Amino acid sequence: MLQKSYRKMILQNLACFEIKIDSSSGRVYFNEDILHGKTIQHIWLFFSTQDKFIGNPFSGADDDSNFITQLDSFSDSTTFLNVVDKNGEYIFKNMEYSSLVLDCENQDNLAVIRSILINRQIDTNNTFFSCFLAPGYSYRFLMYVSYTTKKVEISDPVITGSFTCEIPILQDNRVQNFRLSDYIPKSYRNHKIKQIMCSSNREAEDNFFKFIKPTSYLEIKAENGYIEHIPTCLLTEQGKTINVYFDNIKIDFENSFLLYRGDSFEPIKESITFLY
Amino acid sequence: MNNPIGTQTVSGAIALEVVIYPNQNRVYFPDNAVLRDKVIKHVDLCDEIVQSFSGMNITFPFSKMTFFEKKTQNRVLDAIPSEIFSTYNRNGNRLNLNHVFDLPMSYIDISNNQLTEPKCMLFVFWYVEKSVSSPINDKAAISVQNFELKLNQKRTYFSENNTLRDAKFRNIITSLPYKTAEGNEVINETTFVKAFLTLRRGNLQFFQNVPLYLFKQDRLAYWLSFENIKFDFTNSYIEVINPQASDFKSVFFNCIIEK
Repeated sequence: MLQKSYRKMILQNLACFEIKIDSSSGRVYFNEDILHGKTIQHIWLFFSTQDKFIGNPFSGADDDSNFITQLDSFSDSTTFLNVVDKNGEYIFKNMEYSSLVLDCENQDNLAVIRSILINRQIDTNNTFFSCFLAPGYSYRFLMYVSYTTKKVEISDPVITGSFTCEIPILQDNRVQNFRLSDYIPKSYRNHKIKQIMCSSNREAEDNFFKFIKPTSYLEIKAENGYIEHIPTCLLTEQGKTINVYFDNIKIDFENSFLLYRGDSFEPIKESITFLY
Repeated sequence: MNNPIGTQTVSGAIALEVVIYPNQNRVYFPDNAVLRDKVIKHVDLCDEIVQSFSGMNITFPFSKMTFFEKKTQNRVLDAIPSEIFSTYNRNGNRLNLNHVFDLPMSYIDISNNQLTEPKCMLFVFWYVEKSVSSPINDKAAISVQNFELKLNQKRTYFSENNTLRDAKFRNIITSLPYKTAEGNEVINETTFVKAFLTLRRGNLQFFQNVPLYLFKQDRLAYWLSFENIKFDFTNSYIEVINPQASDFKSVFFNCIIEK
C-alpha cells in the first residue's frame, strides 16, 4: 500500500512565526492566539543554509535582525518540539527538530513530502520548544504551521489556465518588498488559484542546476485563506515528487506581496506563475 | 527506467551478508530461513557503512543483480545495476517490490572483482510479517513520542517503556542531536555507522541486525513506513561492532505511533 498522504500537499492557510532561542532558553513557549480554534495540519521549521543566504521576512532592515540561522551552524545545539492537543495529550513529544526541517536549498522539498499530518486543534499555551544550546549561541528560525478553517474545497487538480508576472529585483539590496497588484493586470485577478510556481533567472555558477532557487517569500491574502511568508523556494518545479496545491484561493493582489530577502549582486528577475 | 514514487508499508526486516571472495564473478545469495516465504517489499544495499554486523568489511563492487521469483521462477529483476538498491543513491526512494524471491537461485554478477580478501555486500530485505503488525487506520490519530537507549556494552537492551508498551509503531526515526531530550550525550557518527538494531516480539526477531543508519531519515525523500508494528522493549537491543569506551553514549529515537 502506498501512503496516500505523500502524494499531495494542500495549503488552505499558512501561519509563519519567528522563533528566537539563546543559551539562556530552557524552554520557549509558543502561545500564539492566531492558531486558537484552527485545525492544524502540518508544522515545519525553516532555516537558511551555508551556501544560500535568505533573510528574515519579519525584518525590514538589512542588519542582524534579517538573519535566519544557517542549518549547518545548528549542529552544536538542538531543540525538541512539544505539541499537545486540546485534551492535553501529546501530538509531538520531544520531536527532534531535524525531522521537521525545510531549508532554502533542498532539491525535493523533502519535509513537505514526508510531513506528519496532525489534523487536530492544539493547545498553543502548552506548546513549546525545549532547547539544549552551546553557551553563547543564539539562533533565529521560522516555524510554519498550516491549518484549515473549513472543509478543503479543491477537488480537481487539473489546471485550466495560468498567468505569470516577472518582478525585477534591484541590485545590492537584501530587503525589497513588492505589491503584487503592481505587476498583475486586473483582468487576471478573479481566478481561483490552485498552484503557484516561482523561479529566478539567476544562473548557478557551477552550472550543475541551470537556475538557482529564488530567495524570497510570498505573503498572500485571499478572500478564503491567508498564506503568510511562504518561501518561494518551496514553490519551484525542481521538486519532482510532489506539487503543493492551494485550496482554490481567491487572491487579494492589492494586499499580497513578494518579499525579497536574498543576496542581490546583480539585477535579476523573479517570476511567479499562478495556475487556476 | 522510471523511479517508482513512494514507499510501501513493511513489518519485518533482516540484514543479509553476501560474502564475496577474490576472483569470484558470480555470487549466489545465501539461503535464508526467514526470507524463504516472505513477501519482499524493498531491498536496500547498505553502502554507507564499512563493517557488517558480523564485523566483516563491506565492499561495493560494480555489479548487476538478478532475482528469481520463487513460484514462477521468472527473473523478476534481470541484471539490474546494484546502485539502484544503494541507500546512498536512492535517498529513501526505494524500489517498490511485491515478490517472494528464490534467493538461492538469485545472484550477483561482478565483472571486475578486484578483491584481495573476502568481503561482503550487506543487504536489508524489508518484508511483511503479519504476526507483529495490524492494518493501518487512515482515520486514526497519530502521535510522535520519543525514547532513548544508553549504550553500555556490545549488546544493550532497551529498558521497559510504560508509555510505549504495546504501542503501534508507524515509524522509528533516529537522529544525532547535540543532546537527547533527557540531556544525555548522543553517540557520534563513528558509533552510529557500526550500530545495528534488532526488534523482537516474544521469540520472533522481526527486525534483525538492521543498520541503525537506515533509521536516520532527516535527508530522505521518503520516510520508512511500518504497518503498526509492535515490539517488546526488554527483548530488543542495539549491538555495536567492536565497541570502545567512546561508543557508550545514548541513542535518541522519535517514533510515530497510531493511537
